[in-house]
Amino acid sequence: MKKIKIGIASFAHIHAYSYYDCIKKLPDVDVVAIAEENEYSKEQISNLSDLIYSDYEKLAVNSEIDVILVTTENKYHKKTAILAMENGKDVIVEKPIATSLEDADSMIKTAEKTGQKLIQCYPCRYHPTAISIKNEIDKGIFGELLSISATNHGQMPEHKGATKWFSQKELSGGGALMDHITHVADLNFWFSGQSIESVFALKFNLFHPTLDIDDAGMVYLNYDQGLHSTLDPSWSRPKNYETWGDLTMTIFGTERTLTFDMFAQSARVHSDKQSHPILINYGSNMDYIMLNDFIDCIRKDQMPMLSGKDGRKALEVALLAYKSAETGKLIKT
Amino acid sequence: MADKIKVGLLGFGFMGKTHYNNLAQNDNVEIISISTKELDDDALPKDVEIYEDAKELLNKSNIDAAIISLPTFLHKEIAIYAAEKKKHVFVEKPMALNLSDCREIENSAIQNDVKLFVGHVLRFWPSYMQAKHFIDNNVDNFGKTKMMRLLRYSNLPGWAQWFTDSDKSGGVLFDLSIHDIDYAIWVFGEMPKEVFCQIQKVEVNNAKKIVQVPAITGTTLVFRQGIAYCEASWAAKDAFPFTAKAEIVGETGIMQFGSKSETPIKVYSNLQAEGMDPYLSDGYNNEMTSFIDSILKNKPTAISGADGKNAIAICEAARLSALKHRVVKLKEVL
Repeated sequence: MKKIKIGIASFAHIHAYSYYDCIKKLPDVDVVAIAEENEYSKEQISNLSDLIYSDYEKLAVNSEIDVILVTTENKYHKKTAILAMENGKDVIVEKPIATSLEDADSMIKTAEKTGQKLIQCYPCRYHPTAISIKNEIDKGIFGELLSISATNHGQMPEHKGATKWFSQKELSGGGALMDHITHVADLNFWFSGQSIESVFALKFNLFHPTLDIDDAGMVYLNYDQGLHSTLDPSWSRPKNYETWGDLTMTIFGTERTLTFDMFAQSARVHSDKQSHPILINYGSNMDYIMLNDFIDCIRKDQMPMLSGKDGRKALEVALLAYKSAETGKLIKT
Repeated sequence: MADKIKVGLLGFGFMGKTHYNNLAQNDNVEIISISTKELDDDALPKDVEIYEDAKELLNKSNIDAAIISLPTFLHKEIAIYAAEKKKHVFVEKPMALNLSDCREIENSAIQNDVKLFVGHVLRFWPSYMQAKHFIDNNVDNFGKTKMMRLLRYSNLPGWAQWFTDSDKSGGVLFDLSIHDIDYAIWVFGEMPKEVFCQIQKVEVNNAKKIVQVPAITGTTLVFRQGIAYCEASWAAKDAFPFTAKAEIVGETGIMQFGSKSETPIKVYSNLQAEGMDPYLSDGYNNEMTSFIDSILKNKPTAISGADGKNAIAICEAARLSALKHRVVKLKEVL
């Protein structure tokens, strides 16, 4: 089997560590090089590859590399991905695709122009629980979808060191709403096949008063064929919470009601060493399943189900939510 | 021993029966009379006066207090009638269908110098009560309340048709979500500045007629120090167990509780599963004991007419928000 050679552009996004571990487990895939423009994470990543560049351009021009995983700060997705595609690399980009629709559009255009693949990470779509729900919906057993009440709670990534940028708007594009709307937005699109018609959102800073960033809010999403959805995207889990957060849904259909807790497959562990219990997840590793499919598609020269266009759609929802929160108005698309 | 409080029950449906059972155990209470349209109800006790008409009961029966568990659209007329007959009034939630009706009930109770208690039972529900106590006492340095997520999912109330007529029940917002809306203002200790709400209608078959019922609702209440999101649904399918969930996030901690953790006993047969949640004294018993106590000791009721009115004010603001698709400031409806 043809070996796929991967370069990783930055470990700024914490998901890069999980993606790295998954890639290492995939057969016939090598991490050839890593590039990191941030000073802070160099030490953390020094033992992850023999070849570590200090800028993303060097990674892009390395002719040995087939695919570049872009896990930089959100703001740098655009320049890093475009550089990679223009140098003949396929790109796997972390969510959200970018911090503006203009940036997303130029990434998508570059993919069309160069013929390179622009693949969007939304691992939840690959979680077996989500796939089961999608299959049931497609079979029609829910009847019409009426409502999806969702949470995507989390802890705020620490406002220091490698994760500081998450709560710096100029680098992240926004706080909890930017970080947590797009997963549910993408799942809603995928589950329902419906288009967004209007968005209302409220955003607040409730838990980190010294920072100028949204850490809480409520989001109302209305779709064109009768589906309504609400989402709590807050960074509201305390530091000593038993896990990082959650993704849950209650789906009301005309024929079925369904509750969904993506990380319910967990054991609660108490120990003398910990001041609080922690959850150990034994559910499926969706990052692995997703990357396995991405690499498989690249090898077969096919597009996986998630492209830059899906990334743009989900980003648009987050941006509409910010527009609504800033104007206090329901925003129609 | 002091004289017992003589009580009449107006309405003997699901809630009326619950209140009857609790009052029957109260040593300070004598149940004198019941009014109901269902005169052949086997559950009717033999040793009390039975009336078909609520007003007739209030005219003829020698009682101190009236327990009103009638359909919501009748609350105003009967509550005022009872107050004018100088009866203390316990009225089920929602207090009435709109703010001006609430004001009239409240004024009538004041003018006639009778007690008025509105049955927002969550304030007496062991878990919800304990959480409020925990917050008020800043246990574990929980800090100020910042965010509440309060959910309530049920099947469409199947026991009475009037629920599905929103002119009579107010729909899922006024009938079901109001529990959590009242709880949020109780915990925050103030009225919200503004609200945003969406209400979704769902088609149901009511007495062989297809009707649109407001059945799914989500309201965000914005307070000075934080927010509360209250969501309720009547759209859960029949096998879905009644579910209440509460999550309260403070400055340093989080509390999660609800119906799932309230059933220490589960009983299964070949046909069904049943959860049991016995307490020494449950929410309905607690609230009724409190009402009777306020009469015995002549002290203010724990849940006043103003409280009942405040919850309705928020529901009105929420309904306006859902209609106008915009944030509604509370002062717009007050």
